[in-house]
Amino acid sequence: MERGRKRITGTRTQLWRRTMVLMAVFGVFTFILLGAQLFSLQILQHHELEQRAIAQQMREITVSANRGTIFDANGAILAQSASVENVFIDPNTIYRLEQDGALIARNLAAILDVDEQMILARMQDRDSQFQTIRSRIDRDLADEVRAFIAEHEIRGVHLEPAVLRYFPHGRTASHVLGFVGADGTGMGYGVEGSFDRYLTGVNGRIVRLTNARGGAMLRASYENYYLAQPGHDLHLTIDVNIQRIMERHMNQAVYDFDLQAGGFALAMQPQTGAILGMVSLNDYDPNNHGRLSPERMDALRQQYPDNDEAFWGAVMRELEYSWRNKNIGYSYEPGSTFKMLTLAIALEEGIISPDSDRIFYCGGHMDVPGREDPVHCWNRNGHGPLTLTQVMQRSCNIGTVMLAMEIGPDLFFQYLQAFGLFETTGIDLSGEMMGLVWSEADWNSFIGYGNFSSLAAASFGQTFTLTPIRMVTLTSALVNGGYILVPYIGERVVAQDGTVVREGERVVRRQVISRETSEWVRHFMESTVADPLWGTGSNAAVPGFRIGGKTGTSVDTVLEALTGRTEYVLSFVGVAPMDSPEIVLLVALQSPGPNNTTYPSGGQMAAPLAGRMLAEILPYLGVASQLGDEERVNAQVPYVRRQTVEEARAELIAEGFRVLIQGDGEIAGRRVVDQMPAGGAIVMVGTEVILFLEGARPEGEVTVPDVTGLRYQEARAVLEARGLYASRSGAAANHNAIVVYSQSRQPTEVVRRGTVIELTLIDISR
Amino acid sequence: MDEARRPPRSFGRELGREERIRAMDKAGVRKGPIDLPFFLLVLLLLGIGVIMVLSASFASAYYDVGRVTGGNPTHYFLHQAVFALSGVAIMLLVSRLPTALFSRLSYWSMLVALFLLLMVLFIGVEGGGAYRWISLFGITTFQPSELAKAAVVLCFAKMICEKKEQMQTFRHGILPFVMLLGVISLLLSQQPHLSAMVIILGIGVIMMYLGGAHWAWFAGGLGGMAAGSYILMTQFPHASMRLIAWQDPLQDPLGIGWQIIQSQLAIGSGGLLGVGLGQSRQKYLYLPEEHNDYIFAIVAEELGFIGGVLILSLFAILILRGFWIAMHAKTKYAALIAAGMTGLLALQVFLNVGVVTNLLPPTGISLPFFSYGGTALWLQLACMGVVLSVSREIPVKRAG
Repeated sequence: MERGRKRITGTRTQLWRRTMVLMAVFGVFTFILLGAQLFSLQILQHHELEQRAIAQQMREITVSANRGTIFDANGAILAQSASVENVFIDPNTIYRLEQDGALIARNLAAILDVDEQMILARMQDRDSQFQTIRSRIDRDLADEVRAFIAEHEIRGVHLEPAVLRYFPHGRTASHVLGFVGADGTGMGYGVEGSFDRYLTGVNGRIVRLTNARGGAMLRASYENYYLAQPGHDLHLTIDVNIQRIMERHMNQAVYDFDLQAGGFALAMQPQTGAILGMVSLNDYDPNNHGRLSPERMDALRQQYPDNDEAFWGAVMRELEYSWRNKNIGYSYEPGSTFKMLTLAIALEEGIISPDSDRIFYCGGHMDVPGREDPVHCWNRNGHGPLTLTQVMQRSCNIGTVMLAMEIGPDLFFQYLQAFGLFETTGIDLSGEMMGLVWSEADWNSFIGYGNFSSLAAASFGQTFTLTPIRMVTLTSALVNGGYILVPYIGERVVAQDGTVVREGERVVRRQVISRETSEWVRHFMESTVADPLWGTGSNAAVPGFRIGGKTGTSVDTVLEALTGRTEYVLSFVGVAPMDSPEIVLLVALQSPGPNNTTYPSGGQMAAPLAGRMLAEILPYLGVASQLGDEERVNAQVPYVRRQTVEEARAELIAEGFRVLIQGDGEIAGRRVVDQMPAGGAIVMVGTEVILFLEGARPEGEVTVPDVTGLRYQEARAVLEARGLYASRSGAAANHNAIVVYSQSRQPTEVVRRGTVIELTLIDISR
Repeated sequence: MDEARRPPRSFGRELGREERIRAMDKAGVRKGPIDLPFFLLVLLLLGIGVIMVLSASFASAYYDVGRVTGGNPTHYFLHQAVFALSGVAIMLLVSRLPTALFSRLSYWSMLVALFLLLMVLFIGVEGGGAYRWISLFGITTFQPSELAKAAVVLCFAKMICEKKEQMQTFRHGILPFVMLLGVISLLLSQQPHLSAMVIILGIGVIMMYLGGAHWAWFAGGLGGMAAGSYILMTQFPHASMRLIAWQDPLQDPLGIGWQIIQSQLAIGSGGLLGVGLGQSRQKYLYLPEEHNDYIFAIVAEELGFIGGVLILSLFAILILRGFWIAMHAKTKYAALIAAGMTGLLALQVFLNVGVVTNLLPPTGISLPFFSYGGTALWLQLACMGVVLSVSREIPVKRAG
């Protein structure tokens, strides 16, 4: 027993020792290692690891700031950010909480007008917590979705606020406005682009801890909000009414003249540089700027039936073309509209006196040093002898070249620089480019070789291009006293609290001609429109307004390079009123097509169009009609009772009335016993006044006829046939679109003969 | 109460306590009480472990990553709690069994383990590309490798007791053990199950060391095991990838390196005091296996360095107490199984926490009493029951 015990103890001693070793190793040593590793991670590297962990757990959610509203000059809204909502589902929650997926899909599909199968398919992604079903729905639809969620106590269908940029006027002023991208910021087009930093505001942020899938942690242990600051509002100088007038006439011109390449029209206040209207016909709907019309898509698809890459390339090119604002991003040869500049230089430099009686002889062509073939006038037969006024009225190339040759190339080039052909205007729109002009070195080397060809061509606006905005800016300088202004379109930038952050104002770059020269240029421009026989711009005349302008017909070299055909630009630059210009209007039409029947010239196409625009814009701008005597509409009938027939007739005719004498027998020397209409009545000029001699009296009553809808001449004739008289109010201009809108005495009313009916006229072409 | 209905107070008290002990000593079945410190430490760690399962699994159960919880955030916790309670019962039951019974069952346990390891290759349930699980009546699953770990302890202890002095020789002290380990390793490599192989080789070497194998063989074996594990690491493609990820987790931050990085971020975020119980942020789907192999990272994040060290200390004390019980065991066999079971526990704790803290290359070893897993928990607690059984047979010092 004692021995056995000892033996066991002996072996136990080794086991006991080795167990002790294991105790030391596994009970102490390994734990020291683990503790040290914990110490390293949790104490020594704590800060670094915690930062990295927070970096992955922290998510920033951007709360987009409301983008500022864009207003026109009258406060009409042109672009506005609307609060909309996005609908999304949380498939994980729907699956986990055993929601009725079929019910959800059926109802959402019905409310949101989307494919039910699409919803069911997205619901299958059960790991996901975020699947968008439809973006940017309005408040009403969102409320329907909310009602559905509430009614069925649905979990896993959510709405989130989003922002939609809405352009309530659609295509109107689309190039002025530009558009915003999917992220709600301006895309470098229009004022949405150039005023983006004002409109955008400062986005807010929500910082919070999230799970690895981006969802919220069950316990939001940390959340912080930074409020969004809404963007500033932008008020434009553009007036939507003027813009609409211009767009309507331009679109009509595209139809009338079958314009293949559209056109552009630009109106500016020449004293300040404020842009009043800007039309570029290649327009688009900023609400849908990324989509072509279905017809165009079909047409392009037929063009590239099998080539997807080419098809989408063409779609993209067409879209990009539609976004381009021709007024600042396109250049053309101004043609004869540029002759006024040559004239202005000649006047300013004293080459010719404005009232000079010098005669320019136009033989239809002229030799120019450096040119093999002579320079031709547009009138190949030659205009013959012309005064300076006639050179401008008839847009004679030869007379203009003569002036330019006398000015000389150096001086002429200096003026081109002064008028800004070698710089951008600095308008507050993004995307402005410069025209294609000679470098100074090229110009000088031509001249150095004795080649005056460029000078000759430049004098009537050929062999170089400029942008429409530059053309309008330099024409403004010609008529505003000589000031090159910086055009602007942003009238005011106003913060939400009402502070004006930025204001558009008259900025003078430089004065290029004197006030006197400017006055004379206005005189010559007016004569070009006012002379109904010889003035090339006479089609732009509007009765009652002093309008000046210059026509231009030139080859669209830019377009020609693309199509390989001769492409024309028909333009007119107009100014009104001439005593104190309120508007400079450039109208240009590009490439009349095969269906056009009008003679393609600036005078035949662009000038009448500009005239129609001005006839509507000028009264809208509050420019008073300055009709001459022959153009008056109403006049007061003089009192001619008891006068002799001769005296009465002479006075009435002098005042513009016609005279009908009623009475028996010899009339000479007899006295007037009554007149109709009565003295003091206001009636239309040209009304026939009946003079009654002794023995004849106006008698009886008549029924008032209905003359509404008639042209005013017809209405007057109808009334006079019944012994009634008309006076007119309302639209001032005299053309066929002016009709009677209402009459002061109602039809079927019985009145005394000789009563004056007041007619209100309107212009139905508006 | 009615005095007459009471049983007589003298019933069952014919023998005094001393007399009973003497009687049991004579019969050789005298049982002392279980070792209370060991028992309480197990309960304490188990309790903390179950709570940590609740905290760690809350988010993944809510988001239903494994498509099993139905979105119930307490799903894993409730399962684990049921297994923990029944596991404690199993532990107490095992602790009532005499060590002599384990001795008799030693070889059988090894045969059963080998049989199941063979069977799992044919009827195993697939998981993550490996066949490691056997379905138990379709209710739960069971890893035969867990049983094999305990079987190695029991079987090696029995073999050591039978070889006695022959343990010094290569033929008897080394060869049979190495061959047996080789067979088990071969079967495990077919699943494949690298982490179980590492544990079983480790516990095999510990048992041989305790059994008295010459230290030179032991040293040689350790070298051989190192070489073997190197070969395994390089041959198992997923093992070599893990080595790379261990050295530089950022090389593959979205693949294998992901859980290493996420584990470090969790532990590091804890700092000295932790982010607070239940406040872990890394458990929100950042850290994979957050309630299984990587639960200690969540523990360290929520309870901090202090909590982590405290829990490691509890493990250390439990392990020291286990070895203490072994050193006081009545028989050599009892001493061997107690030390073996304690060594098995120690090995798992070290390898798990070592991996989670990126001290060791990543392998999927669970943390005893903490990691989610029902049958594994049962087996761990049964092993603790074995140690408690040994503790009951420690001869009590009698006064006088």
